[in-house]
Amino acid sequence: MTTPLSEPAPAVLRPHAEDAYARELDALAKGDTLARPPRWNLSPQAVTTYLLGGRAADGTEITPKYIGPRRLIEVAVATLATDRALLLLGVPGTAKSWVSEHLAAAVSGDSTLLVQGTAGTSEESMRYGWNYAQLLAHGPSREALTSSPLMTAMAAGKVARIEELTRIPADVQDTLITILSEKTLPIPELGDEVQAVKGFTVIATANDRDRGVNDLSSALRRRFNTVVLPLPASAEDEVRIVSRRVEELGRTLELPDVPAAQQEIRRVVTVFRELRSGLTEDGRTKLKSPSGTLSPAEAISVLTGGIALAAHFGDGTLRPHDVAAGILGAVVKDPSADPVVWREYLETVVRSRDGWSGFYEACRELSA
Amino acid sequence: MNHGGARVVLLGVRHHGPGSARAVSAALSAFEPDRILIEGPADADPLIPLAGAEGMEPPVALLAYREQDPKVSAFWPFAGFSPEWIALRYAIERGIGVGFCDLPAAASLSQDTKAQARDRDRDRTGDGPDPIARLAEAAGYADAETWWEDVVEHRGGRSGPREGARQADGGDSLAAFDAIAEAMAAVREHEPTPERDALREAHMRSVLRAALAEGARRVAVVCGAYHVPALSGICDGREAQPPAQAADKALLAALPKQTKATATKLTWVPWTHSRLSYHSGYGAGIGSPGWYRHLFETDDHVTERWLASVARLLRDERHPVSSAHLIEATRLARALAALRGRPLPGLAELTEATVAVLCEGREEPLALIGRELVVGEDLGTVPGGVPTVPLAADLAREAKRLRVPRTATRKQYDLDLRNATDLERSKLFHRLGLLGVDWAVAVGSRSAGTFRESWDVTWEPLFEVRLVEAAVWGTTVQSAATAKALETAEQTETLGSLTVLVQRCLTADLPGAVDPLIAQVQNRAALDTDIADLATALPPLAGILRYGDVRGTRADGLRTVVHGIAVRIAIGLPPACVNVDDDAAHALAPSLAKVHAAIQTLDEPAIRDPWMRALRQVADLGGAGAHGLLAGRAARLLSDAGVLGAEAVAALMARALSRGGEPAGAAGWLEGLLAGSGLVLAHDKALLRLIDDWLAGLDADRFEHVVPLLRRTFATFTAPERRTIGERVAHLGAPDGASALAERSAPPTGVAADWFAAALPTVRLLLTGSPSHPGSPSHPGSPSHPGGAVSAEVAPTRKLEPAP
Repeated sequence: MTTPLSEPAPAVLRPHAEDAYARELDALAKGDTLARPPRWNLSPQAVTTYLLGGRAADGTEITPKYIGPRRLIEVAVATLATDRALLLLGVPGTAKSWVSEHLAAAVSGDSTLLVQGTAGTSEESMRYGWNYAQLLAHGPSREALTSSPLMTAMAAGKVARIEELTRIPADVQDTLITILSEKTLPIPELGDEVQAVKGFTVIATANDRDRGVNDLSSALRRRFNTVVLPLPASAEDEVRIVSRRVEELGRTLELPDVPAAQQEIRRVVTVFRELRSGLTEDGRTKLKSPSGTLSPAEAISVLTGGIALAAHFGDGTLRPHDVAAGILGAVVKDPSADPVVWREYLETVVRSRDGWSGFYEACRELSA
Repeated sequence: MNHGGARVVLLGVRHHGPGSARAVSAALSAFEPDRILIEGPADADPLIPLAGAEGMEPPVALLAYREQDPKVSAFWPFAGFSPEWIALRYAIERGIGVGFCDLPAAASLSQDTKAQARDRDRDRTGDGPDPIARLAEAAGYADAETWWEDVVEHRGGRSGPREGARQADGGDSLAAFDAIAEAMAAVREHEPTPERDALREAHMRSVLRAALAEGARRVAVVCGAYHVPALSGICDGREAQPPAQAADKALLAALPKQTKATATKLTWVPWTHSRLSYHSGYGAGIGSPGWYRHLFETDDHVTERWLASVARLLRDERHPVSSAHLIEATRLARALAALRGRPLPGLAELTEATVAVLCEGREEPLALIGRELVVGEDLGTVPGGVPTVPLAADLAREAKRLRVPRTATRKQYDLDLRNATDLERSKLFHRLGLLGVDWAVAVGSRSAGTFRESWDVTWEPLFEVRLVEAAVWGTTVQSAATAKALETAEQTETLGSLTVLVQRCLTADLPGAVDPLIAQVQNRAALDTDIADLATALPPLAGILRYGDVRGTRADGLRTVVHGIAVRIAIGLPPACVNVDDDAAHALAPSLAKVHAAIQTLDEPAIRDPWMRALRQVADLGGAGAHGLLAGRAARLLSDAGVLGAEAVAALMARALSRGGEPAGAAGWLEGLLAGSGLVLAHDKALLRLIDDWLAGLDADRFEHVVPLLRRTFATFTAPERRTIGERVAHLGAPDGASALAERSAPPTGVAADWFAAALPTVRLLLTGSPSHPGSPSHPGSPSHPGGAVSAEVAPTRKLEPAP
């Protein structure tokens, strides 16, 4: 599960949070004099510091893991401290899983008790399964039982994580109700049960654009405190996030080297932010919002696509017409309503904006 | 100076702080003063008894204004949970001598005019350095409000404010104020005192000295915590720190003397919670009066009761909220408070718990909670006997200037807006209308011109009350109407009513309201997906833009807005015409025509071209989804505008009425083309010819198919219309121009003929410009002559027969 710190870690592509930040966690734990809830590695205040950054008592610098509103992280930590389950909602690319992993690492020192929600997630992966060889050889017993991450977390009093909760079929989701309200997992085959130890709780993440997939029943919903993680608050933050990712992706995909023109990145981010928020950046004109998410992740893919276009078919520089088609595709998701939104935006905002005429022409050409 | 055993307690408070109010209440009971001094304009003393009068319900405000110029005014608001109000009521109920000790309003208004646009009142957010912010900073708080709440308002740990205050009775309740005074003194020691505050404190000290000189033995002073150090040590001879009596006298003597021009009046006016809050621009406001009221009025279980009222509100809005939700929300709020090291959950913790638990992550209900609970709309009342409010005084002055006497008998004013006085009168009436004081009611003008208005003017006693109520909006008719219009706009639902409001503000000449309203129209228009709504909004705005009006009002932002709306309509129109039912189509069709007319009068290519393209699209969509009525109407509008030639219209008609289409759609198309009236066919020869030619060109099969459709449309026309159309069709072949009159089939006879003959020379003169016309027939036909009675639906058949 975890690599002993004394040995040099093998070149893991991506180490777990508790390993990658072991030094910070240790420093915080050493200097932490405040009261800790049962089986917590740190006090709630120290968990908050670990996520938002700051300094440990011995002066160790704690890097910020999440950059965003402080109060959200406080609500999340307070939720876990009241042994309630935490549901992190947000559009794709808002660091839900990232926050969940680090919370689990800080609270329990273990972020690996993870159930990845998919359409195929079965009840066994939420409760327990059987080792059939054992079962056939020795009959039903605790030894023949293979426990799920949830069951392990209950027994050990740790934080279990469920990713993409809304992708899990509704009947499987319902397994959680007993676990969260009774804090116990019955094993009728053995006439036995696993009772959760203090410190057990669940962090689930879900995409709030996916509500339609397998919407949470209100019975389950009621057992979670919900924290919605927002999109980046300022354009500068978002430009920074997008340009860094675009560069990284370009390297990974081994695209020919196209100077990712800052101007086009800024433009794409501006278009996305304006349409998403329904307001121009100068705050003077309100707009309709299209049905799509227009998350930073989509801006990244529009730009990566644009760079590929520019490199292979263009003149090697990212030009407005390289991104125009991608933007159109990202904005127009609903064929009846979105084109109107897009055309209104083009005609009322883009058209009259200084330095955007090339972009306007490129978009006009496409949507004509 | 020693006042022989007299005692003074200084109760330093936060204005509108509920914890301070409880503490003041406890301290007064413990100390039992024989004199209370309250921070407030000293010249308001005569108004104090009214505070205890029947019908006085906070929130109310003391209002001071210049008699000559009511725009120069200041408010001192009091909520039910303001410490000053508590002290005021305590004194009145027990018959204890009470007075205000701050600078007289007359003086502070003069100060204000000097130091324009600064917060006129209240030290906490005042012009000088913020000492409470310094204290909070020292205690590690980022926010002074939170610090004060934790340290002072929530004093008493987890047990809730009331219990806290109860524990703190007797000497303890006074000790708390001593602690505040000490902290404040420490801060102010190193801060220069702003000139304005020095002056105010000099006045407070002199009032306090006067009270002691009059023989008061136990004086309680309720003032902002900031002022406490400046007042301490007056009675026990330790006057080293505050300036001595002589210095104060010199300072106060420098105040400007009152003249007739600066004469100031004071009165009580009703106030509202929302005006106590920050959003209304009142400098020392509080963000959450509703929350403070809750803190003040709730004895125990503050957190639970607050969440319960949130739950009740959410349930009313059909958000399911169970008791289990409340339990968890309470736990979360407590855990958050503990995490942040606060003694009790504050509004921030409660709000976050509300979002995370009660609202399941959605922030949308917060706006509602904010409006209904956190601010909590409370409207105060004042008793009947309060002095005139400046708004009423302003109205009286205006009425006198414009010679509109206030009488209970009805009088009609016919105004000619080209006349300056009449124009002013009209503006006054319109403004009063916006304020809900319907002293003057517009009646239909006798003249058709836009420069005339008629008003019925009757004064009713009710209006006095309305003026007092409206005083909350402003001190002059103009400023009050402006504020009221803006507030109304906030609550307006549809774009249409918003544009009506813009129009009203333009006619009432309220430039201060027009620009923000236009900005709102723009925002609303941007979000409005209902084309019908946008279409209703455009024509009045275009009218204002095109013609301005006789009042000479200008609206600079209007052009952009009109353009924006027109472009949006043009973009949204084609999709809006597709897949609509008959009702919606019939509702949209007239606005289509109105928008078209508005755009034509504006005559600007930038909006005309997109509009024409949109119409063209709708017309082209005739057979493919767009409602027939709308497609037909679009074709007609395009044809009238000369964008579509006769052939193009004919092609569209052929397509719309072709066999593939639904019969109902085809009939609708025809109805749209004719705009629902046969009259147009009787007068528009080109259109008639178009239909006639198309009909004549059909083969027998198609004709049989089309006849029922035509019958259906033509049957909606009146009989005389059909008759006239029939006549017209019979003469379609005749050349135009002079033959217009020759079309009439048979000459009239008898008396009618003579009458017509007598009128003829004039008609001829009007039509041709020359008194006689040799070639004209002497007996023009009557349009309603029975000889021409051919029903419209058979007319095409007649035309067909000679051309098989």
